[in-house]
Amino acid sequence: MSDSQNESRSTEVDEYYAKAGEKAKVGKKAKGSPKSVFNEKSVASEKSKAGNKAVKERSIWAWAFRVLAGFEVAIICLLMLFAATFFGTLEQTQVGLYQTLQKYFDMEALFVIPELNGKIIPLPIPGTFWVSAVLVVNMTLGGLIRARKGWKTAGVLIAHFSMIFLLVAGGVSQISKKEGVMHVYQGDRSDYARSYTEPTIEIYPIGDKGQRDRPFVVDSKHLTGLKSEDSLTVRLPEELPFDLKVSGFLRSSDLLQVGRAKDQHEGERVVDGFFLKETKRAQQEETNLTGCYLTVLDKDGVALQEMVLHYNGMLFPTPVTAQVNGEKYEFSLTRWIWPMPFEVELDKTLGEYWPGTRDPSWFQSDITKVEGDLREEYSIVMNKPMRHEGVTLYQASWAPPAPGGRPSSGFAIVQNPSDQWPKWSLYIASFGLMLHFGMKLTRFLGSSIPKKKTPHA
Amino acid sequence: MPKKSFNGAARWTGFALAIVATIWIAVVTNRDGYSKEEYQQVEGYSKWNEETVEIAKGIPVQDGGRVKPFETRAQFLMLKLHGARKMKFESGGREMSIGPTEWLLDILFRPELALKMPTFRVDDSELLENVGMEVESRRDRYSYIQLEPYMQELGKRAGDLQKEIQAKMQVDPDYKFPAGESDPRALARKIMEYQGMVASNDFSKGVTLDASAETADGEQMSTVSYWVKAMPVLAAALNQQEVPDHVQKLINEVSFRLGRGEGGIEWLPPYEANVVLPPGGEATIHSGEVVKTFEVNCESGQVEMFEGSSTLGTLEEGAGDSYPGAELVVKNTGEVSATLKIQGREWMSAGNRLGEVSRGLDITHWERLSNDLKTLEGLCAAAEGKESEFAEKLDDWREELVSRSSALGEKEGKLESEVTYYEKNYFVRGLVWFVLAFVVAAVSWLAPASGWGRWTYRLTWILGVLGAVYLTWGIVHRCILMERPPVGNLYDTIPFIAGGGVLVLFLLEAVTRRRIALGAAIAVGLLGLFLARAFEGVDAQDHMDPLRAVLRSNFWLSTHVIIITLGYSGGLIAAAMSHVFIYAKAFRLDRTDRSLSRFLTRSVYGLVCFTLFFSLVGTVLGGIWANDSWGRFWGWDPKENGAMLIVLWCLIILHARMGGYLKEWGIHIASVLGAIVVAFSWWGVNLLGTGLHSYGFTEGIGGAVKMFYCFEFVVALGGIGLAIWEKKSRGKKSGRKWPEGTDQLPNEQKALG
Repeated sequence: MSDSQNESRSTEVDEYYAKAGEKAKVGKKAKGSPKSVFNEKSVASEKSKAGNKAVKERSIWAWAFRVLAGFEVAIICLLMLFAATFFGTLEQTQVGLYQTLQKYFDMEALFVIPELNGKIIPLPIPGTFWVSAVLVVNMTLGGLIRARKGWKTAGVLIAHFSMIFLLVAGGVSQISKKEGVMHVYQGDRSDYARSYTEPTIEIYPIGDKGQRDRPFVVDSKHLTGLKSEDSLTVRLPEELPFDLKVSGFLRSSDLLQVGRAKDQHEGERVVDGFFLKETKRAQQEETNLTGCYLTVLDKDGVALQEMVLHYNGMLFPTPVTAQVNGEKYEFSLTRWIWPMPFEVELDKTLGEYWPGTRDPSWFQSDITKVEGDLREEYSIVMNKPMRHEGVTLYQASWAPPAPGGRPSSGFAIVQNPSDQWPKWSLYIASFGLMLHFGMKLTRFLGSSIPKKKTPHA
Repeated sequence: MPKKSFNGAARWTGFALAIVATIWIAVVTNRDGYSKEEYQQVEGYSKWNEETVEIAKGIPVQDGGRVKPFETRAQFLMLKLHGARKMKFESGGREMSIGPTEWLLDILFRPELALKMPTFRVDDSELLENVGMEVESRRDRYSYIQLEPYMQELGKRAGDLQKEIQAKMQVDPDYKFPAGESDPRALARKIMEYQGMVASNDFSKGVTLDASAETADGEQMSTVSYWVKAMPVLAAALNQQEVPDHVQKLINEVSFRLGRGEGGIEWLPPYEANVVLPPGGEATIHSGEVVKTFEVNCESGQVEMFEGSSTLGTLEEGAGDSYPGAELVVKNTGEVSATLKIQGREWMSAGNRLGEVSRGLDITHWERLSNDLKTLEGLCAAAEGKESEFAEKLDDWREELVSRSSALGEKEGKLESEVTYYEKNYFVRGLVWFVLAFVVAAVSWLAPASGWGRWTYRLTWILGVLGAVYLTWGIVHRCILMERPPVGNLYDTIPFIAGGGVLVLFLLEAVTRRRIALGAAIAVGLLGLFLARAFEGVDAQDHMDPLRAVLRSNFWLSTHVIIITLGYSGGLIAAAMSHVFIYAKAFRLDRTDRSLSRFLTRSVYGLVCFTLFFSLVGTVLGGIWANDSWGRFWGWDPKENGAMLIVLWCLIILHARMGGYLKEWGIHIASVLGAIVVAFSWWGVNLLGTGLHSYGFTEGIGGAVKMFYCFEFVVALGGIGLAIWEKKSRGKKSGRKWPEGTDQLPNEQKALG
C-alpha cells in the first residue's frame, strides 16, 4: 500500500454526499467479485472435458478443487484464525483495539507478525480477513458442494451454510459499515454522526456576510494511513482556486507555541510560532489528538500559505482562517462527519445510578425523529436501539447535567447492511447443529446403554 | 488370579492418587491469598450473645446499590479487610472466634475493642517495613492500634505514589502501575474505610457541654441529637444576630462529630420531603456528589420542572415522574399552592444524612434525623450496659428500619431470606458432600466388581446427588434473591459451570454406568465449589449486588450467558474425561478393561460436540446482544475473542478428527489443551483489564490461572510422551508395522470399529 510508503501521493476530494455513494459501490463490488470467479471456474471445468488439453485442465481444476475443499485447508485456516485471535487479544492490551484491528483484522492486513511486550514472535500469520475468505471458499466447496448429501449430513450442510452466511455478513460489515457517534443535549436536535477515530480536513468557504458555505471535505481514507514523513497532495475541485498539501501528519500530538514551550521544541517545523509535538499514541484511539501541517497551493502547485491544523478533541473544531485570491476560507482538522437521513430531537433523557454508587442502572432517551414534516417518537434504552432506514441508533452514553446545565445522550450510530444477518445465521446454525448432534447423540445413547442393569466392573 | 487383582488394585490406587493429586494441585493454586493464622491479644473482650447476633444479622443497610442485611455487609467488609469470614484472637487466655456480624457490631458499638482486633491482613510486609514498622513475617494480620503510628507515613506514601502515577499518565495515557510492585494505596484505602466505619456512631459521644445540662422535658443538651433538632430554630435565631463564639463552637462540634461518621454504615433511610409551593414559588433539589434520581409526585396544583435552563416538562395534579439531576428546580406555575412529595433512594450514614438534611427542602427532616440519632445514641449507651437491654433496643431499631424499607418498596421477607441463604451455606455443604463422595468413589475403584464395590458405587451416587442438590439449591436461592437468571458476573459462573458439568456427567454415568463419569462429576463439583469459595474470598465483593444497565436484560442473561457458560462447562468436563484417559493409560488401566479407552474417546468426542454447540450458539448470541447494546456484532473484544477461541478449538478438533489427523490420543491431548483455552476465555481475558466487558474484570488470581495453564500443559505433554512410548513399545512387542496415520494396531482398530 502506498500508505506505508514514503512518497508523495495525489488524490481527489469529495463532498459529503458523494462519499456515501462511493462507499456503497465499493461494498457491492467486493460482494460480487468472488461469485463471478466461481462461476468462471465452473464453466471452465465443464468445457475442459473434451480433448487432451481439456483433460489436463480438468485435472488441474480437480486438483485445485480437491485442495481448496479439503480438510487440510479447513484445519490450517482454523489454526490461523485461532493464532490471530489469540495474539490479537493479547496485543490489544498493549497497543489498543484500533491498532490491533488494523494490524490483524483489516482487509489490508495480508500478513501479521505478532509482537508481545515489545518482542517479535517469529510466527507470520495471514490476515484474518483473507483467512476468513479462504475459509468461506473451503466451506462452500468442501462443506456444501463436495459433502455427501443425505439425511445423515443434512445438519452439517446446514451448519456450514450458516457459517458461510455469518462470515459473509462479517465481510460485508467490514467493507461497508459506517459508524459514529451523535451527542445531543436534552432539548437539542442533531442530524449528523461523527466518526470516533477517522480524521478529515474540512474546508469552509466563508461568504460575504461571514457565513459558512457548504464545506469541501478530504475523505478520511486518504488521511488514515498517512505517516509523519509522508506528504499528500489534494486536488480540489475547480470551484476552489487552490489545492492542498498535507504533511507532517501525526496521529497523536500536542499543539505548542514556541514561545511558551521552548524546552520541548526539538527542531520541529514551526508555522506562525506554533509546532506539533508528537505524543505517545494512546490505546483508545478516540482520545488521540491528530495534527498536521497544511500548505495551500495554487493550481500550478506553488505554495501560497502554510498553517498548522490540530484536532482539539471537542465537538466543534478550532478552524484556521486563510485568505486565498481575496476569498476567506476556514480549514479544520476534525473527525469525519456523515449526515443522517433524518434529524434527531432529544426530548428527554434519563440516567439512573444504583443508590449510593456510580454504577448505572438505567439509561433512556425519548427522541423525536424528524424527517421533513414527518415526526415520529421513539424511546431508546440500553439493549433496545432504534432501527430506521438502515440506520441504527444505540444508547451509548449518558452525561448527567452540570449545575445549571442539561443532561445529554450519546448515540452510537451504525449503518450496516448486514446488521441482522448474524441473527438469521444463528437460527440456521442452531437448527443444523441440533439436527446433526441430536442424531449423533441418539446413536451414542443407543450403543452406550448397557444391556445389564448392573454397573460396569 | 491374586497377583492379577493385586496389580489391578495397585493401578487403580495409583489412578485414584493421580486424581487426588490433580485436585490437590488445583486446591493449592487457589490458596495463594491466604495468610498464616496469628492469634493476638484483645483484653477484656466478651462475646455477643447469640440472640443479639441473630437480631443484628437482619438489620437492613444499604451498600453496593441495594438494601441488604447487616450480615451480608459485615461479611464482605470482613473479607475485604481481614481476608476471611472468621476472626480469631485471644482474650483472657481463651481463644476467641467471631463472625462478621459480631465483628461489625464491635466496630459500631465497642470501637475501643475493635481497634485492638487483628483486622487488617497485609500480604506484603514490605509496605510496613518501608514506613518503619518491624514485622515478623511476609503475611500477617494487624490491628488498627498496631498500624496507627505508621498511618500518616503510609498515607503520605500512598498520596505520593498516586501523584507519581498521574504524572506518568500525563506522558503515557495507558500507563498502568506494574502488578506485583509494592503499592501502599490499597492498604491506605482499607484503613480509611475502616476509620469511617469505626466513626459511624462517634456522634454518640456528644458535645462538650456541661454533662449535667438537662432541659425541662428531660432532654440531654450534651447529645448531638438535641442540637440537630434545635438546629432550624438556632439557625433562624442566628440569622438575626451575630453568632456568639460558644454557639459557633457548638455548631462546629456537632458538624465535626457527625462528619467523622460520613463514611460509616449506611442505615438511615431517605426521608420523604413534603413541599408546599405558593403560586410562583420555586424550590431547588440538590443531589450532592452522587448522581441521584428523585421521584417527584404532584399531589395538588401544577408545577414545572427545570434543569438549568432546560425545562423537563410540567407535572399536573396526581402526576409523578423520576428525575436525575445535580440541581433540579421546581416552579409552581399554577394559580394555587402546589403540594409535592419528593422521595430520594439513598440510604446514608448519620454524617452524610446531616449534609443532606441541611441542604434539604423539608424542615421536618431535622426532627426526623434527630429522632434517628437519638435512637442510635440510646443503642450506644445500652451497649455499655446489660446486653439484654441492648438486644431489645437493637431489635426495635431493626423493626423500624424493616418497616421503613418496606414503605420504600423493598420486598418483605427478602432480608430474612438472604440471612437464611448465608446460614444455609449451601455451597460449603455441597462441597462437604462432594469430598465425601470423592473419598468413597476412590475406595470403590479399588475393587469395583466386588460386593463392596457395588455398595460404595451406590453410596457415591447418594453422596454426589446430595452435593448436587445443595449446589442447585444454592444457585436457585441466589436467583430468587437477585431476581435474575443465575449468571450475571464472574463469581456466578463458577457454581453454574460446576452444576452444569455435574449434571451432564451424571447423565452420562446414568447412561453408561462405568463409574468414570460419576467420579469426574464429583471431581468437577468439588473443584467448582472450592473455586467459588476461594474466589469469593479473594475478590471480597458482594456478587448479589445489582447489575449495570447494559447487563439488565433477563432475556440475554438467560440465553447468551447461560449458553456460553454451558459451553465452558462442556470444555472443562471434556478435559476432565481426557485427564482420566491419560491417567488410565499411565497406570495401564486399559489393560484390565479394554473398552475403557474407547468409551472415554467416544465420551470426549461427544463432549467436544456439546462444547462446540453451546459455545458457538452462545458466542453468536453474545454478538447479537452486543449489536443491540454497543452497535456492533463483533468488535474483537477480549471476552468475545476468548469465546471464539473455544469455538475454533472445537472445530479444529472435530475437523482434524474427520480428516484423520487426530486419533484417539490426539483427541484427548487436544481436549486437555482445550481446558487451557476455556480457562483463558473464562478467567484469562478478565485479567487483561481491557475491552468492553469491564464488569467482568478481576485481579489477584493471575498466579492461580497461570498455574492451571502450566498444569494442563504438563498433562498434555505427558500424554504426548505416553502416546509415543505406547506406539513404540507396542510396535516392538508385536514386531509389526503400524498402519500409517493411526495409533492402533489393525486388530485393535477392528475391535474398536
